[in-house]
Amino acid sequence: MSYMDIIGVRPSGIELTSLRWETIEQTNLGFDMTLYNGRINLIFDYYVKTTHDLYLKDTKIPTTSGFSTLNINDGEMQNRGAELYLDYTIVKTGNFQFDINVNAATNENVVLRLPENYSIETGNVLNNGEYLMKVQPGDPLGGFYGYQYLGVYSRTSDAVATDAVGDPILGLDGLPLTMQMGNVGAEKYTFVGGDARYMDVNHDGKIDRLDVVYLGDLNPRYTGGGGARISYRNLTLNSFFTFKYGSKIINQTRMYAENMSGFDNQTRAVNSRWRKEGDVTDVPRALWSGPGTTNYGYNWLGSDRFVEDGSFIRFKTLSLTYNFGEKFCDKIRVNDLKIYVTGYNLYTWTRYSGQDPDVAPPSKPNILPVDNNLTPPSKRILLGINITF
Amino acid sequence: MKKLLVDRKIIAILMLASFFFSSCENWLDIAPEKDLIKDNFWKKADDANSALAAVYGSLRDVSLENFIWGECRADIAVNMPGNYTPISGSDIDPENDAINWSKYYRTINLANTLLYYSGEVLENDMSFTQKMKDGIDAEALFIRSLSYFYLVRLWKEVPLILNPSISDTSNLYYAKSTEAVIIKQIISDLLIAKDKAYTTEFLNDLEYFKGRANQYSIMTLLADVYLWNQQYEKCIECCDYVISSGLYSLQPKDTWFEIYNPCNSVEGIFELQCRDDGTTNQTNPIYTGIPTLINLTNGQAAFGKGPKYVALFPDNSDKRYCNGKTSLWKYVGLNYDENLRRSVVSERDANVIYYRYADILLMKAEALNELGRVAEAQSFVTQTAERAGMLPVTGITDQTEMRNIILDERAKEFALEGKRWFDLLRKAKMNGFQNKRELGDLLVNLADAKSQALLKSKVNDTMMYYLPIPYDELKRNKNLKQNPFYER
Repeated sequence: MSYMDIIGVRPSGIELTSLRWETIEQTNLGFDMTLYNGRINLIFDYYVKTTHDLYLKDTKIPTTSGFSTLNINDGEMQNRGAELYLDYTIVKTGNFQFDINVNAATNENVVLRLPENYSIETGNVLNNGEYLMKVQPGDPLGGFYGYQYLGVYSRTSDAVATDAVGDPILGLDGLPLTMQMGNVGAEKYTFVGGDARYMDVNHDGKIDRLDVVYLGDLNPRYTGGGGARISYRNLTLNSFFTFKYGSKIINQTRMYAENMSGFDNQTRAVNSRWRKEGDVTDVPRALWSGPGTTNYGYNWLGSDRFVEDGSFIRFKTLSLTYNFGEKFCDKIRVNDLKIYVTGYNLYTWTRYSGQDPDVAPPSKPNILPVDNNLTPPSKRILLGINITF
Repeated sequence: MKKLLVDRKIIAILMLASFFFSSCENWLDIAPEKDLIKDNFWKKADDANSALAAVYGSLRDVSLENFIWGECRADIAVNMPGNYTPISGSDIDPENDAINWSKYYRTINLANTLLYYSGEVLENDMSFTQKMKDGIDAEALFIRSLSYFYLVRLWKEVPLILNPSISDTSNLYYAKSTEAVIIKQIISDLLIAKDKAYTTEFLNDLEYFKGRANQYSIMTLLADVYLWNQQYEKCIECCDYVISSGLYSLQPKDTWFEIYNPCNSVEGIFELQCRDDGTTNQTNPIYTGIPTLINLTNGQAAFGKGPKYVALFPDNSDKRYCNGKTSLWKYVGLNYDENLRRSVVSERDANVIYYRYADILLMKAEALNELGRVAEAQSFVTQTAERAGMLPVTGITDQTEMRNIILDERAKEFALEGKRWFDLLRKAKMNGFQNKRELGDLLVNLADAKSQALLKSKVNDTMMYYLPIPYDELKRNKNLKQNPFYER
């Protein structure tokens, strides 16, 4: 920003004078219940948590201000949900005990109000690999939008615009209109055989912003866990499971491993790609264009093709403990002696195809919740002795 | 028991530590080390100068846009780069990323900020004189006016913002102002700036004299604004002011190419100075922004010769044709007649020439002609024509004919200098768009063959000569209303 021999200095942002803490207003309604001499313990909690003065980092502001983002406090968000905890001792005799415990929670997140001129919108759905993210009152944070993937055009003659009942739309010359990409550019892209087929929601023969639908969000509808504990004499067997239900994950790793548009390694799924007119498959053709051209097609637009159900149940721990009892301990002059074996992350039941369906939510609401297949939780077996002197 | 003693020691150490560190009670107020904070700025003359340099730096950043928009939809150049391609064929989508005014407004905000705080520097630093403050204020007003002049010619109606965005309590959500209001503001700002500005103080330092706005560059911009606003008498006054200063003249015929290489010729009135020193990032954005510009040999280069360019130069007689070399020769040639390129460094440090004396002569010619003083106009057009080795313009009595001659002369003189579209639009919009038909026909001819039929029905809407409000800005600011032509 210098000019001639003068070093330029300019402000890097707008001075923030009205930042403050978020205010959280929380109402809880719940009960603790103990029945049958403490054999059943039930805890239930319903909450409504409203966040006022929502901190909105990097809020987009009109560039007429000379800047493009600002951190502000404005808006309201609500989390409503319920938590349940149950502890049940099913059998309790002299040297045998069988307990189960279950916890479950549900949470609904909704943005109640945003500043009038506020809009979070990221992602250009006209580009491959990008999803639209927007936050608007009435929606949860973290929702994403994209196209509906309908497979692959088997033949070029299939790539025609259709009306609401599925009949081809005819042009002025009496021939069916070809499907086009509604992108901004010198040449309109026309879909051909082997290209990914997307739902033309408004039947205008163009795939564009208007064909984008809500695909889901990362927030699970239910989360929780539970396990059983069996003890017989000195032996205790303890298990614990966790689950999440109803989260939607964008499997970005799969996207990159199936897009066939670069030099990245690809998965075996690409073996079934479309290769010639008439092939019926759900993996589009490989489209790598030579040097000098920039046409990579639109085979991996942000669509539900890469969105997967992230529900899972994970067998988190199983542990077997043997406690050597007081008599033995006194004999060898220790306070307490235990040996145990514990297994962690033993198994995960899920339909999710990536490494780990337990994807951490992004740090900011305007970041797309994608799974980059980081190292999954390791399966571990721990063998231990616990001695207390 | 021993264990307990250790614990006590630790507690004692912690208490001691808390005693030492308690002096940091204001840790929330610690200023970031590397960044300047506002409270420490605006204290010294250097601060004002640094802020001014940033305003010029920001103008340099937007110079590429200024250059492209001046040619994009016009007929002198074809093969617009990237996202400008569809726009050059009147296929204009508000979502096109090329349509973006943020750099203009960044410049404007930096100018507004400087204007707001220059008084504070005056109070804080005795060495910062009133004259220095006035000079800097005038430069900021000039750049702000120039930015708004571009905005108003490109978008017609834009937010008019005269206050800096200095805190999050500033108004950020401005609605559009009309063209008339903006033009009025530009004129009154420039009249104020003119009285405050430096005149010949930097005459001995050519870079400062040509590169920083002074009274003459301000009057030249004002002439351009008056011409746009059809205030021809006023335009002539401004031109005469610059002419009578005696500080400028046309670069002689034999050395005319020195206007572009090495720049800062006797003709230059406002040349944004560029440098290629490898450290301060002051290269000419026209080179860094359009890589294909340099690679002129591959046949795909941006800014090929447009239909008008070909028609204007039927043969080599006009020096400005540079013997048929590329239309961009003035940006890359060592001189006009030899087939030698400049070194890469001296390409990148070529100035962005906003105004030069030829502009004054031709603006005056245009203003005279519009006032019916056709014969007088002739002598001014003749000056630039003769300098290019052409015959004098004589025997013209018809105003319309003369208008076209002046327009063509401007096209030849300023080919690929980012002025053509504004010249065409200025002519079209005269007296309530009396000449819109010609511009409409031109836009249809420049469009893609397939879309010409559809375009024909649209070019009567004069709002299509202006750009849509960028899609993203409409999202960010609900007080903005789209240009009605682009509303779907």
